Amino acid sequence: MSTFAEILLNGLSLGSVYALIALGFVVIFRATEVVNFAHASLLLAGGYITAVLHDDIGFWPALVAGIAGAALVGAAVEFVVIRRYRGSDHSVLAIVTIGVDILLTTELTRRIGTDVLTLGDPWGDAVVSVGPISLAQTRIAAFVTAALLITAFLLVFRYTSWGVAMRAAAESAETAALMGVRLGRVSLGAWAVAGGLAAVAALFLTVFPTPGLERATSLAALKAFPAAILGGLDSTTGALVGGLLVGVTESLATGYQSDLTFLGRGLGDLAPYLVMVAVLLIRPAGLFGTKELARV
Amino acid sequence: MGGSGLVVDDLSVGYGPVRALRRVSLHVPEGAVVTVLGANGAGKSTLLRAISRTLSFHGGAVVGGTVSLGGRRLDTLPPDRVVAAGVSQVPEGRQVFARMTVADNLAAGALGSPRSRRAAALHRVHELFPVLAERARQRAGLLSGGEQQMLAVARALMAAPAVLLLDEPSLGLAPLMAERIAETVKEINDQGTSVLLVEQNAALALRLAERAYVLEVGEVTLSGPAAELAASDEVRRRYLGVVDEDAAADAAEAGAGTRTLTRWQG
Repeated sequence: MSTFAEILLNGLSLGSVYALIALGFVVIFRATEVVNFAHASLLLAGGYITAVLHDDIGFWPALVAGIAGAALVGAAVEFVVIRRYRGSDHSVLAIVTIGVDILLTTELTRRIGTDVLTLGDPWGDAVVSVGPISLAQTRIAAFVTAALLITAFLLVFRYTSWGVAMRAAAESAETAALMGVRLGRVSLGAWAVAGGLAAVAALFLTVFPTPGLERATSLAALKAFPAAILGGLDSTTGALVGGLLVGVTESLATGYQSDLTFLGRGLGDLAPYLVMVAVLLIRPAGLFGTKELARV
Repeated sequence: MGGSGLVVDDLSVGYGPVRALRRVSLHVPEGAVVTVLGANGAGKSTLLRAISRTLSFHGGAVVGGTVSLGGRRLDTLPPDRVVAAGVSQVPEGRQVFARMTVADNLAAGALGSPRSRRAAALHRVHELFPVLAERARQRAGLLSGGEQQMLAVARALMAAPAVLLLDEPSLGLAPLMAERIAETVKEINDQGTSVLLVEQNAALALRLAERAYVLEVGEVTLSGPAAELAASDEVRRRYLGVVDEDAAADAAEAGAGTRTLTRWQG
């Protein structure tokens, strides 16, 4: 029973990190209708900046720099690439983001090489035990941070002018423009916010029990894609639920791997995609997504 | 044409190779209601898009001529600056943000104007449309068609515009509701906002407006004081559906009282 609880809690923690990534993904999609395949490379960029700087300037300043750096990279991608193509087909833009992803990831993996970089977090491998349940401090920190960030984001989204502009632009870009919304700014802001969230996620994807930031970290980040998609690409609630679902599934599949050996190994990596396919078979628009309405 | 009010001068608009407007000129003096009549596809919505600078969303562009407000050029500005300059558009088909609440829709309308003016603007629209205050927390998509039109007008008014552009406000509304919208337009105008009204319901539009323009296939073919246009045979035949003099007399007589349907003699 205590194993189950531990697995579940670890899963929720991991899921909240996926939710952070998926949220950025959804924010970009809502603001610009672009599926951002470059998201994993934004995450890698944020993590890399933190990893390189923490020795010199300490962990917290390095984390802030990583967040700012990833936000800047996100904004730069929007400004240099996405903006030039505005008005063209959104599927074309999605493919352009694949190109951006290849460029960024290639450069970052070249810099990282075969190293495993630590981000210098203060939690290390400390473990908290409550009764029979033991949890790594990093997992608790991940969950608390993600929960705070997501709550703050949702409040901003709901109550500020920026949030109103963002939601208006998501419903109809043209009508939002008629209201005086600066679409360029909304889109720039969305990419920057998504980059910042991804940098925070990078931290928690690389802390204990994972060895650190390496080439494969961007693969871990990819699991946020099924999270965003199964939640419904245009729903912030969907991103949260999807993230948690993927995290818990992965954690359960990995935790009970020994009971599932007949399925072969590496089930934990596969599970998120299986869940996504299962959900999409029943609800093609995702759990909370808006159904595509076609007028005939 | 003077420098005051909204001036459209010699405006031509194309969607790719297709010319949608050809050398259109019109003038909305300060405090006036001006209407543009025309059939489907005459270029009415294109005209409004050209003023509000949203042609690019439809692959269109101004290819000649100017639009200015109080002597200031609008046709070089991005859409948000047009709003800030004092021109707000109520788009055709209302286009309320269906997934947002009524209150958020109104907040969206105020995004283009300074914060200090928002409270006063909100007070004004709640006075014009008390129902919007009652429904503030409801999703806009759940309102009736008439209420959505009120919301669309109110949303545009949140920017406290000098000129309000209205695209077919009576479209798809029950006659009683259309009448209610017409009264509101009058009221808004009485408060000092100029109105450029694009309508298919010519009877309603000509009653509200001081000046009218008739747009046909992208060109202004008739213009003049609304009363004169309402009396002209051409307009009566084409836009008021009056077939001949007898019928015209009938229609005039019946104007105040009840109307009966007569056999169509097309």
